[in-house]
Amino acid sequence: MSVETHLTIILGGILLGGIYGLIALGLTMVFGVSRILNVAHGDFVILGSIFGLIVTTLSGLSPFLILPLIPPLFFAAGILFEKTMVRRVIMRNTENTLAVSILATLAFAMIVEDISFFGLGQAGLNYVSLQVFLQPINILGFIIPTTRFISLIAMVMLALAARMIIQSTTFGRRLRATIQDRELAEVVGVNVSRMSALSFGFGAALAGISGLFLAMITSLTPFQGVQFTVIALTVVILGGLGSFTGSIVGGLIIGIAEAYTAFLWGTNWARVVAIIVMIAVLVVKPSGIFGGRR
Amino acid sequence: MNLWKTIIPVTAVALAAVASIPLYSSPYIISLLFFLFTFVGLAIAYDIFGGFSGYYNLGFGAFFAIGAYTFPILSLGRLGFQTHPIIAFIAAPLFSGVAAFLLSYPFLRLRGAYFAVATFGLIPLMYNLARNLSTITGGASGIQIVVTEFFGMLPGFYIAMAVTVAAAVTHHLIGRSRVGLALRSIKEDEDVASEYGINGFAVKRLVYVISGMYAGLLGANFGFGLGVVSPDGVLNLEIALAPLIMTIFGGPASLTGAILGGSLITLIQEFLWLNIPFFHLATYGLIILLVAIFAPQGVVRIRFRRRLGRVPVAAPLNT
Repeated sequence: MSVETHLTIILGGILLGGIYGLIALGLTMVFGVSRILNVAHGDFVILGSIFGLIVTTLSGLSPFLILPLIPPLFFAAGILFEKTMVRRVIMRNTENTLAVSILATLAFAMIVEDISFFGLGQAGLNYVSLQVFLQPINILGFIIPTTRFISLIAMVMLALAARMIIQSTTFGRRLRATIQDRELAEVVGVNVSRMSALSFGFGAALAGISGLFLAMITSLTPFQGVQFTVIALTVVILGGLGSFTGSIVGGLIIGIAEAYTAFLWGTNWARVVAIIVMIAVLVVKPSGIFGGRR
Repeated sequence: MNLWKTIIPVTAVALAAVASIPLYSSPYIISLLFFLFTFVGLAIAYDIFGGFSGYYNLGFGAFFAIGAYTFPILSLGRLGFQTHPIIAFIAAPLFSGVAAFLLSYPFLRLRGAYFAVATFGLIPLMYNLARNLSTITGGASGIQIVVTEFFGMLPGFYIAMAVTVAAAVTHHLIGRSRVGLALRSIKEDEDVASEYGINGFAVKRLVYVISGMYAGLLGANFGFGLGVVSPDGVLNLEIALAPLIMTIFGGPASLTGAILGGSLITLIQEFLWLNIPFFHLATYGLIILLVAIFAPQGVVRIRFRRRLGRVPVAAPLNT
């Protein structure tokens, strides 16, 4: 393989991995703060792409231009989800939160997937795709597809922004404190239930953005929601549950591994490799690459 | 023990009555009973490990699929050699058991949510393997199992019933044994249990393998009964998560709960398939949501939680 092929594969892998990383980041944040396994997390990704499809079709704007609309809307949606599903359904019962959270969010995912599939079907669509074709650019003799390149830059900036928010803001410090020790965080004056709501908002916003980007590079069906949750979970387990760096690094590992597998053996083997990588890491280090505690 | 003197004959008579149903009923009823027993069996097999230990084995469906695929792969000579169907049928649970044994190494060292999340990955792994290894598994369209001598659903129903009864007996025996006690103590507090000399990993692995073997046996029979094994047929999310939904619906760590949950959920799904042309998945989701809201400890523990002291309420999970 030439250098150019490798570069194309790695670039594609980083883009895909970055998207996976952002989805996983939201999932691990929600889990860390509220101890809830949100199976419906991937559905926010699909909803992001469906939202993008609706707005671009109605307004005729480029998907890049509607990007700023997604974070506030999905943040609100995430908080609404927490206030209703989590507070009213899952937290009603404190005894087996994990099982109830899996059940309730799975049920939510089924409802959302079925309704959005029906809605798309009414609009005459089988899948969501927002592929934009821009003139490829030429950098140092390498021909780079513009859409992917812009998405990649946006992805890196988003990851850096998320890192800054988590590392340097008061919200981020409170978030990390809640994840480390819920009771102690409460003792020092962190409003833990507010943190839980905010983490769902933050997670949903990241998922929505990821959905928009994903729709630009592939096509999605509503029933892939839980599939994206599983990918995000693979990434999270790989990187270490509760670790933000782990999510991004795990996402990149899975993304690049999938890109190479897709190139060498075909796209249908990509998912297999991702999970085998996860199992291999679990054999060596059960807590994941960046996971300190279990 | 007096109770058992009535329960055993009553159960035997009830089973004999159910076993005689095919003599005077339509193929539809036979297929419904086939599904009913398969899923009740799966719920019980799931509960043997998941209910007692408090571990949520989201990858349980993978063992079902391994069994379902092993049977036609061996008996139809997909690997280049052909075995007698009976040998293939016996090999199916063994393969699932071996898979469970091997997978216990990466997975059973994880706890709580970590275990649930990691095992969930097995479903897409198996799904994609089944789709991709098309020379062996037939890819997306799967493998047709041609049953020439007899109608596959009828023997399938009797086998499913026998396996379900065996699983129920196993569930009862494990629940009463030292292993069951060890699993319950693991559910309460795994670290304390290990300090009292319980080899948590070994106990969990033993029961994980037993649970996986029953799933494999039921899987082999499922494929045999339906006459076709395909990735979407045996590895869809609804089948993969059905045992979890059923045991939570019925009540974990309780044989009654697993039987009740398995039967009710199967009947509800059947009803939805028959009566709701659109949004059947959404309706199913809505029902699960109602279960999560109103019966998070299972229907066996609704209301009479206090009156019936015998049914222990599930312990809080350590995550």
